[in-house]
Amino acid sequence: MEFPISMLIVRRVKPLPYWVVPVLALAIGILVAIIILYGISGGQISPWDVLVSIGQGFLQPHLLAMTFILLSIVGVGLLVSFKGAIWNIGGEGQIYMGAMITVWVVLFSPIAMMPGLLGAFTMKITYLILAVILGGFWAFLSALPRAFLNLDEVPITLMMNYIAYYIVDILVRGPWHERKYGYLRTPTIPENSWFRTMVIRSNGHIFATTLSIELLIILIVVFIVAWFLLKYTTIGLYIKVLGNNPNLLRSSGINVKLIILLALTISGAIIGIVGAGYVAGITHNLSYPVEEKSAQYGYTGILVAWLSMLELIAVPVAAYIIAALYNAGINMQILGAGGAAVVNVFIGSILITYTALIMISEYKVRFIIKRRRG
Amino acid sequence: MSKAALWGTVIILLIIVGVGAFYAGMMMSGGQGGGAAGGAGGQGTAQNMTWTPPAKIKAAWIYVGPIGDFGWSYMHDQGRKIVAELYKDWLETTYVESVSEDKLPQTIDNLVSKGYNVIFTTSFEFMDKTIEKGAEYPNIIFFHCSGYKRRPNVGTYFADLYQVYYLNGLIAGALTKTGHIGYVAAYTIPEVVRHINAFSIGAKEVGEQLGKNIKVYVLELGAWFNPDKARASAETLWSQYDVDVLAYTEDSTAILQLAEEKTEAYMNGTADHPLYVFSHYSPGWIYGKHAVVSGQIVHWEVIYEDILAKIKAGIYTPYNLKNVDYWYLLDSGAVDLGAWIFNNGTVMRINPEIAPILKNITVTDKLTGKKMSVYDLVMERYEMMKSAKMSTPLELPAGMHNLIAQKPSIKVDGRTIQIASGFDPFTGPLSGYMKDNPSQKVTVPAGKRLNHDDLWSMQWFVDWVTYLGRGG
Repeated sequence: MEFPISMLIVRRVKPLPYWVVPVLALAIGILVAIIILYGISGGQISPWDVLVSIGQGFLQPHLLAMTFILLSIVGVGLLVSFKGAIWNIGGEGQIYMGAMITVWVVLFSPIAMMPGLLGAFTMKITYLILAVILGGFWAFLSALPRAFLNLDEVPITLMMNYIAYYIVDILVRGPWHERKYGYLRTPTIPENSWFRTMVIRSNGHIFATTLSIELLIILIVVFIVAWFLLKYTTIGLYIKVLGNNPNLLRSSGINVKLIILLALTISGAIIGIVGAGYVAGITHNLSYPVEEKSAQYGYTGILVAWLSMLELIAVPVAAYIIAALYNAGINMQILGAGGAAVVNVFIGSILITYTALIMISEYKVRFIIKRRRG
Repeated sequence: MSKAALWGTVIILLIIVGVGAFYAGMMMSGGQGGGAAGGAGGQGTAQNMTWTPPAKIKAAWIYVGPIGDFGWSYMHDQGRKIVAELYKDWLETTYVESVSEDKLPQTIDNLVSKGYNVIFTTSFEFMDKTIEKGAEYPNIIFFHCSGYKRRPNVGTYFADLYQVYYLNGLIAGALTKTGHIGYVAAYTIPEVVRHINAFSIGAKEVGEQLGKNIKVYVLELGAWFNPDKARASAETLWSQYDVDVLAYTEDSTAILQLAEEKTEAYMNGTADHPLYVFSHYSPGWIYGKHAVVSGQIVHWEVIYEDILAKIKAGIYTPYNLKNVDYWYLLDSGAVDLGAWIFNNGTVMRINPEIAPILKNITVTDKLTGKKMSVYDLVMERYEMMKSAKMSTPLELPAGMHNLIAQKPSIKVDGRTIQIASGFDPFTGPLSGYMKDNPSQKVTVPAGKRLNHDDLWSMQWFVDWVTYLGRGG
């Protein structure tokens, strides 16, 4: 017997207003997370605590600033290649190449041997430029087999992450580790090479933030460069066409290989900056084994790029949401609403609901009641 | 691209820039106006050095791992719960677990903004960040576990297990039949190298007398918590190196469970030797009732109780912690020898199934020349180190720790006053080789006792240790 109702999924002719979907998806995601947490804890985790944590999480821009900025830069970098349907999963490797060269410049390079040779500003510009070059180079290496052998870039960029991790591991375990106590980490990088986070002292009150003005400026510059590249340059245009119809490019006589190389290299170059930001802004050293210490911005950045629906302008919004959710997780723990495992369930269930709803927002579900013939 | 999203982004960016600019402005004006207020933290604190302990102390613990690891973080959290109950009239506690080094600044900022005034950071890798945050918040008290950097408002503390590993080693030397002893190490950092050596020194002291050629095989994991690798490494040592006694530094119970399987197989006649093991950090007998011989137990609450009482009494302030460095040994009660703690508080020092074996093996005490059973030897040494009460105060201030080795006893009015334990495993003659450069030899002359600084920078293995590299 045929079921009398059938379900039909159709593409929306007129898309919903853009803001409706993210807001709704987030709200439903939070609701789902609250229900799941309430369920798994047998009523121990109060919905109110969760809501308070989320509220605080979103309203503490001074605490999530660092995560927000670094995730935004990764997101922008990934977007450049994703626009061309080149899936750069190698953000981690590109980040660690940037981090590696930063540590080298400030601790082990000829520049580092002669303190005072370069001022703090020149020093920072030097390692930033080198991080861009090395991040780009690392992505370029993955782009070669993609362009010339037509090998899938996903496994290649992914494997390059591990190569990068292990190169850094070898350095940190070997020639770079601090000698005094023998711990497997590099010495702390000199303070004048740090991206300092802002601390405000007034009338005995101390207000520390994770915001580095320099990194914020870098984000804005990166954002403008990427926007200009994608919107006003031929390379940007070709990358976008590559994403939609590579045959069109080929038939118009454009060197597709070159565009693939450019898309991945530019992507990696932008992400390389995050490595410099990560070392100079947060950790101030590298410690072994890096694959376990990594904040994994290279992977989380993929989520940021996806949640932005590959719209540049939405990348910071997505980065803010994710940074806020992680921050909400810390608040939940402090409030005693649950440990790290609960926080992971919380962030995971919000993000999966959110992602699913965003993806289906272009479609609508229609039920059709069939009439029997007779 | 819709306008709404554009505006959303613009607004967020504006907020951040605005907030930034606002505070930057405040900083600038502060600098122009007072000089001192916006100046260096040191100057700022120098002006208001009077400090009254808060009526309610809000203390927060930050853990590197999950408290469910049943090792390091678990035992710190046990300590937290005990002091929270003891001092509940004036102490409020919370914790944040599984915090990575890069999330530490954000976590500390969050805790301070919620009014927490005492913060314990319980991982070596938190050291630099704790010092940086300590400089930013000169009025908050920080205590960092296992590091060596301090500030006026950042003290350090550590409960050292090397004496207990030595006692475990004595037992291992008696129990091994193959003479091959294993050690699964998280990392070969000085702390763990010290434990490996102490364990090996104990094993050789007893094993040699019994005619065994003691060799200790070390595999490194590259992780503090990695049950799969730990299990695989222990399996390798058991199957490829004929290891029948094992100690380890890792925060899970995986190795205990593996050892129990092997020992049960031996008891059923399906394996040719057992695998005895010493539980690490938390009492682990329940995970291996036939295989767990003894182990190292930590009581962080002993240190937390002391720190918090002294903060409450106004003894510790944010201005005088520069030389506060707990390095607590057996006599302090912060560490102990045992496989299990029963609910009524009694401790199982040595598994009663295995104790009779140890009571039937006779050796000579190298200090006195007396003949006694291995069991009695372990207990005698334990008592010696445990009862060195005059040692405890020297284990608190930085800069005084070395006195323990320099003056283990002094003479007053012709009487010998015992300060530290009459016995320490790290007393020459000892010989070894550098971990990173095995051709470089290290010797400790007869009678020389290694001091705190020697132990904390130890990067050499005694000769009968073989470092096999990374396993798992």
